[in-house]
Amino acid sequence: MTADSVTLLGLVRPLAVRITAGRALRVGARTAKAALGALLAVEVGNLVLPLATVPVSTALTLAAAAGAILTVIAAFLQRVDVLTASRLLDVQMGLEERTSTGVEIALGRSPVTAMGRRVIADASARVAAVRGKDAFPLRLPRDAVFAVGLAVVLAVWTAWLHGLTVPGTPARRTTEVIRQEGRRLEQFAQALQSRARTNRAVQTRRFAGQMRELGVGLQDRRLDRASALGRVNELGRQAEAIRREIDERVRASRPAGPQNAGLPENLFRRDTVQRQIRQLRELASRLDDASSSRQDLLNRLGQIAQEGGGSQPADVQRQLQQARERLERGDVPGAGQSLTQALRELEGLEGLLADEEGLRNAQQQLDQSRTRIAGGTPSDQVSPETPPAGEASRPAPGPTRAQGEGTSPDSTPTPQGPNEGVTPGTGQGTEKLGAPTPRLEVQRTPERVKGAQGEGDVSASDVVGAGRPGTPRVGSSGSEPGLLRQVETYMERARIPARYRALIRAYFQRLAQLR
Amino acid sequence: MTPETFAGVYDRIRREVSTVIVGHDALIEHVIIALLADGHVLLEGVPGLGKTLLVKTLAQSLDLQYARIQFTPDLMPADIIGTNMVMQDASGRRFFEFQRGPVFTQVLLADEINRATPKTQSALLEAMQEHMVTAAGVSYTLVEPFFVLATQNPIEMEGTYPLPEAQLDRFLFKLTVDVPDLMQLVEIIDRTTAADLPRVSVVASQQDVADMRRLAREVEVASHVKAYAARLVRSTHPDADGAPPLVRRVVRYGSSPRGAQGLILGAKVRALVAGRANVSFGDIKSLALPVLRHRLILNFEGEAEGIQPDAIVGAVLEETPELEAARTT
Repeated sequence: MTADSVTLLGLVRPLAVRITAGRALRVGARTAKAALGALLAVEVGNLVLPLATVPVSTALTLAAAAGAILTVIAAFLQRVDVLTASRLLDVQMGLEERTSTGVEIALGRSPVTAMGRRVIADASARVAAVRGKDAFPLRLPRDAVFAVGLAVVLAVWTAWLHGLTVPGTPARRTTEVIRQEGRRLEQFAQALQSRARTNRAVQTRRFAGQMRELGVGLQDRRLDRASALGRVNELGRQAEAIRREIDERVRASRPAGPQNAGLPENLFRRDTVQRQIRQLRELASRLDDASSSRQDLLNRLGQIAQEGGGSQPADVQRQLQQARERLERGDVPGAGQSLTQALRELEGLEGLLADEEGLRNAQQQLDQSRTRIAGGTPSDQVSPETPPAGEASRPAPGPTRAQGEGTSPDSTPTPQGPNEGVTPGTGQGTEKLGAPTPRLEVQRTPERVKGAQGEGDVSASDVVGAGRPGTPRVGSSGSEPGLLRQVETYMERARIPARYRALIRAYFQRLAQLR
Repeated sequence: MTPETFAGVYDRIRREVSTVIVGHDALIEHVIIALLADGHVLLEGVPGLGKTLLVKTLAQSLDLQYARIQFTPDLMPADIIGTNMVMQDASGRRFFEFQRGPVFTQVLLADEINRATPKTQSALLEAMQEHMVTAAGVSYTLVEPFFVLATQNPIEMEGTYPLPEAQLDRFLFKLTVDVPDLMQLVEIIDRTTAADLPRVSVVASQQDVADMRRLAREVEVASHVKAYAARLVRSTHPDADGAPPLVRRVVRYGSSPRGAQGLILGAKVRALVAGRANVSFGDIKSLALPVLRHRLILNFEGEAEGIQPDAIVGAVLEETPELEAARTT
């Protein structure tokens, strides 16, 4: 390779790098523009369809990352070689193919003749006079400007118009479902909070507050489905974590030892624990009562311990045993102290069980909301495959008719809608008006109130029997003439105001008497 | 000879011819390029535009032999290439001797070539392609440089025999001679009606012409420039991939490979004329019309619509990219 050839190739090589960089930048900018365009299209599409969106910060980061990655990839994969660069330089700077011909000869693709050497020298002189930034300026690609514009539009749209929906579209329906679920969760959380306060379920009460905030948040009109589902899922995960922690604590209070290895998983039932609490309280009050004999107390204590069997926490069993021993020794205050300790243990366990129950209910509600929001199904149009707990057997609000009532031969045709017909209560509607009544999705636990059965006050009344034929039971009075009935009919038809009706009625009554 | 010498000689020839021929700069340039590219030229134009004078002046300026044949319907091949005649020596012995025809020259003007019969026209084929003629089984080499410049009248088509495609293909360029504008016409009047007519002097020797032809073939052509010329020629074929819609519609058959050869040869000369040692896209483009216009055979639709070959070549130039793979940034 001649010195001129080396010189020429050395002059063209930096230009090749410059062209590669420019192309890579354009590829990156084009990628970023495409990504932002797609994200903006999704945002705009959310006006009518509930599409999944990403936060604007994430969108911008994604677009920038995609552009940067494609820039690097393009720089490596679409590297411009010296020959291509020389051809582009010829076209760009009007060098009449001097450079490309010279580079071809310099690269040895054709034998170097005297004319070839002239071409190389000529090309070197021409290329040396060319400034790289003039031939291939590394300016900001037009696509990059577009991408910035799209990013601004995306940011403005997200800040100002995100969540807007067109009425009557699936997006609007999804928004309504989210709001409806928000209201439902808020109401449920209120009820849960008050019940948790009653049951001293600390964790549940705290969680109900978060659930209420979620419900309020879901009622935001600008909230899209993805965000709503994200919030619901996040709270569901929190509920699951708290519940597991409670489960661990409940499991830790199980009686240990090989003899208790076969105990069921759900050993502690809340109603059992409540009954034991009541029994221990009653026993503790009898301890304070001096009239109670020690033997009775011992018997009662033994009965309580026997009833509890293996379903008592280990600490409670130990405390009850300790109370029994102290009572046998005549240490009544010590026995009372042990009973109080056992009571505290049981009350703590009862609180944990209440927490577990409340959180399980809250999780069920969150699951229902998640399903409805994901499917865009409003709560009053739940599909029969997924009925909410407790709603399947619930009677529909409003008047109901017995099966086959309208099919009797002498009955009038059944009105078709809730606002049809003339007799109140006979309308039959399939749609529910207004928001559904919030209901707690909990298991019904019937509690029987125990007490002494006694006799109440006895009262008696005269029963009037059927009259005999021919003996009237009501005194005779003059019947209204047909004229007055007609007057009533006409007044009703003519819509006579009520304040004039008495006057008109009196007039015609007097007229009838005159006849 | 160096490229600089080449450009200098070319410039002298062009200026010398221009002292006689008024205007027609492009025509003069293309005729000289064809001469230096070892090609032949078909001139098309109405009578009286200076075609004969151009050829005569060119021959005089280069000190070349010049002959003119007026083609007529009764012209025979022997009238062009010559014939064997019975001769008698001093002893009374008779023998045949080949009497050379007018083709044995260096610059041949075949005036109104389309008036002769195809048989007579084809008599020029061997001379144009092989630079030799054969009579009675004996071949005679023509003196170099051998340059044919044929003319045809595009108006009077009555009683003419259009040149067959095979013969048209042997012309490197087909040039059209335009009517001079007002200023040029005045200049023509001044030059031709004065007492002293312009005299042509010899500005280059036959050796110069031979050297210039040799140097022209040494000009470098980059591979993508050759590819561009090839794509141009391919695009004149209706079944080619890059053929423009107009070509697909009105062309029956496109240019032969001689078209590509002619493009490159002519471009090489033009590059030297421009002071370059390499061929550019511009050289190819500027010669596309004269090289390709007579190599296109139109179909019935094209003939019926009166489509001009120049329009087709223009479409090909417009729709064929210079760089196939990578455009400019």
